[in-house]
Amino acid sequence: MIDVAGLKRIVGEDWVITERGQMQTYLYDETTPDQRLKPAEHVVVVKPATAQEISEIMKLANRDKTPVYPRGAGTGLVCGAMPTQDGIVISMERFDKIEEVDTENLMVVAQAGVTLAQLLKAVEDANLLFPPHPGDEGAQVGGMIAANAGGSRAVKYGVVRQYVKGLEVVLPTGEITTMGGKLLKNNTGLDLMHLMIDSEGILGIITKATMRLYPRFSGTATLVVSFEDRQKAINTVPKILQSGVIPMAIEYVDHEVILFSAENLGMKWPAEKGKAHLLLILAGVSEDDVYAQAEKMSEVCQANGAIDVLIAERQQEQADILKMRSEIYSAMKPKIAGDSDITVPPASLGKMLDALDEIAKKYNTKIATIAHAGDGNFHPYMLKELVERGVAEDVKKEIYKAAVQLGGVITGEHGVGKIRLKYLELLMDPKQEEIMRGIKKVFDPNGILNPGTAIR
Amino acid sequence: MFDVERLKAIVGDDWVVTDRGQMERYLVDETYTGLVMKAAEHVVVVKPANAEEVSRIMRLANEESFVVYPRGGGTGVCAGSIPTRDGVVLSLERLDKVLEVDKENLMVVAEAGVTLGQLLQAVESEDLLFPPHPGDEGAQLGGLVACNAGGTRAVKYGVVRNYVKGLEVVLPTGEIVSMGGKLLKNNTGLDLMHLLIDSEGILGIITKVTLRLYPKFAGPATLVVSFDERHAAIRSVPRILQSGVIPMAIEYVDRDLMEDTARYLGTTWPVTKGKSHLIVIVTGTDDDDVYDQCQKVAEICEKNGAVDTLIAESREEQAHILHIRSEESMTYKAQLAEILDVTVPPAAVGDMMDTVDKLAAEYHTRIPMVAHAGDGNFHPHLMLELKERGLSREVKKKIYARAVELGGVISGEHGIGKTRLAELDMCIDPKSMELMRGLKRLFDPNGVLSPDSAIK
Repeated sequence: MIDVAGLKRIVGEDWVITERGQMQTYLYDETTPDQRLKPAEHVVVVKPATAQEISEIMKLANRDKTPVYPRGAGTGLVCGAMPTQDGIVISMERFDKIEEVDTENLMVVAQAGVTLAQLLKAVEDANLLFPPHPGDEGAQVGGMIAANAGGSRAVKYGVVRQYVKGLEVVLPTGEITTMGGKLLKNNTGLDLMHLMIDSEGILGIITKATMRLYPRFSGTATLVVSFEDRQKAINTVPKILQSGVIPMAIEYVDHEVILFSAENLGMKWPAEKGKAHLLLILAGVSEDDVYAQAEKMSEVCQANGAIDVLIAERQQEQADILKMRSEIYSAMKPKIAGDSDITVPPASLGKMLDALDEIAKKYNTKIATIAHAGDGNFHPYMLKELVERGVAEDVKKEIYKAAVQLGGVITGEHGVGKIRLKYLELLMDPKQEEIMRGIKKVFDPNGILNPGTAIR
Repeated sequence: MFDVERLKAIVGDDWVVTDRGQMERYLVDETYTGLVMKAAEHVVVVKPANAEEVSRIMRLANEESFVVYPRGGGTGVCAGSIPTRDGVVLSLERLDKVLEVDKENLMVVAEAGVTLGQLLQAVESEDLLFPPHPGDEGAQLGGLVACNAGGTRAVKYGVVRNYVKGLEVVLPTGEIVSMGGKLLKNNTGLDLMHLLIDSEGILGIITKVTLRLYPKFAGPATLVVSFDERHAAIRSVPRILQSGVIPMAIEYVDRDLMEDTARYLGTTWPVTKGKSHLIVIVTGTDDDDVYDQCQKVAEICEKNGAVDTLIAESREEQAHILHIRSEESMTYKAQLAEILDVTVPPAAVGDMMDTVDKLAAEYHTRIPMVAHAGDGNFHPHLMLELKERGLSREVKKKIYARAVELGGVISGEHGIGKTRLAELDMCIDPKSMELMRGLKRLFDPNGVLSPDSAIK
């Protein structure tokens, strides 16, 4: 059914895997076991080396009407890269070269399979900075763009979309196109590049990206601010943003959740007071600048009810705080069935957290939450016991409905993938869904590229 | 051809203009003298009051097959809103309310006909800031978003796209849809909102926008840095950006052009040294920060060959400099055929300007130019006499060809409209153009909205 010989002719024998035992890692992503789908039975994994090879694979796939699943590092949380129909997985792992760090234009040109870690290192070696940090450093550039990754640093610098200036894309029908370039302004025709960003691999396969870089910060500081209750912490966030200081990140954590993570890592959480914390990451052009920002933040927080402010300036101290924050998911993972990714207007965060409390009470469970408080995006964790009691689905729906009621959406950074399709109806009007289907048809008339993802 | 009575039934008698004498200003925009397109003979102007009326007009247009030209402030420079076929001009002037300045979420919600001037006032009276400033304050928000306006302040804060968080749009087929919201992260399905931005009114009529705001910054301070030659000036730009200081604007001007303009305005340009100037506008978190940044910029420029640096801190002095800079094209408006809008990678601006100088010499003409040097976008001015000699098209094509060779595009901020269609295929490949046509057909199956604009 799948033309394995044809694929081998295109990429070479060594780069086609047909043995099921050897392809296990290509069949899944990071979606929690309770939510993940089953991979299809007949899958072939190919590892092309060039856009030209991908183009030929796409032509072959169109000829045979074989579904194709592009795959980055598999760090997605919504089964976006999972092959759920018999077909071809295209792994981008051989697109692993950073072609240029251009210090004059402050741009990096990288192939799609370059990992975030690789990118950060190359950029730092040139004494520059790629500001966003969407999390897992194993993630690949192509995937981060296709999924418009977010992360905690979006408050000051925005999500990945903001950095993308040029793309090379293989269209579903096999043509290789370039969009944009090392350009900061571009208004020629309809903006296909911005349509490609966040298209979750259904409109084309990104093979190369040009992204904007910034100078490195001369200083950073991390503040842990403690409050006696959550509402006070959340209400402080707009006051911070109005003050003129825009932190790189504003994260909200419950005291008991972060203690749990610290314990899990065998570390000690530095703040003992309060029930709710804001973590502020500040960056500036000089140490004086960072210091002035930290002073201002500490004043604003104290004026709004903070009972303790801890300022970490040493590298190690800051890294430890961040580690405890970013490993919350790992600590929780064995206990949870899934997490969601709702986003509401930033000032509605408090209301949303109240809604979560009510839902938790109604279902007699706990919903631990971490929040990118500066941008209204957050991740309530649903415990496994909800699945066992058969109410996980109900709880999830109630959370989504509450978010939509507050003017929010069901995903802020993880995307829709294959597991959130059924919830799209909670917020999408039929006409817009019709247009999205239409767009998919314009790009992919045979519907072979990552079918069953992002749109219904 | 179309039923004026039915239009009157939708918007009311008072809001339909059929008398040619009363509609003259709706038939033109700010397109340069050498490119002006003639409006069609049979045009009706309608002025709906809300999205519902816009929707009914679009339904009628589809039913009776007439074309509709949406119109904002008419400040475009590529004939985008000129009705070149018999049809209806849909003016958004009555959608003129700022609905909400939301201090907690740092967002403004406004109708599409609100002018930039009105928006700035509403935002500033709440002590907040809408950072971009694309120029003419009579421009309307719908137009700013539909054209993804740029301007001088894009270096630090980016173009209008970066600020758009939500849109209400009437589709060409009449449906009213809303996209996004007061959200800083949104990855739900394909991003139609980002497709609508920069669609130049061919995919839908924007009726309401939600834009991101910021706290007011300290400053600005304006530096005029003089160099003896252009390349030293241009080479200093990446040095500034690498240093960690990101100015709001970095403009390149030739001194003689500024002196001509000053003379025309009956005043004097404050700098007498050097041939080439960088105008650098700096903002910061407080006055100390602004001062430090100015010092740093001055140092860097001196290291890179600057012969003089003027730092203007008083409001009047800064306004004086900016006034001369922004009135530059008025000096020879009567002699001007058109202003180009090419964008190249920022570091290639020097090369590009040399090319333009060489062409000016080769064709025995003057091609003054100003450059948004921080973002690689610049505006060579072609004179009427060149057009009269039948050579302006040839020179334009050579400038475009060089821009594309350097990795650039033919429009960075003005857009394609109707006057740049002929050269669009110099930077858009046939397949991408086919996709754009496919998208247009999908949104507007009967081709009733803004035909012959933006795409071929």
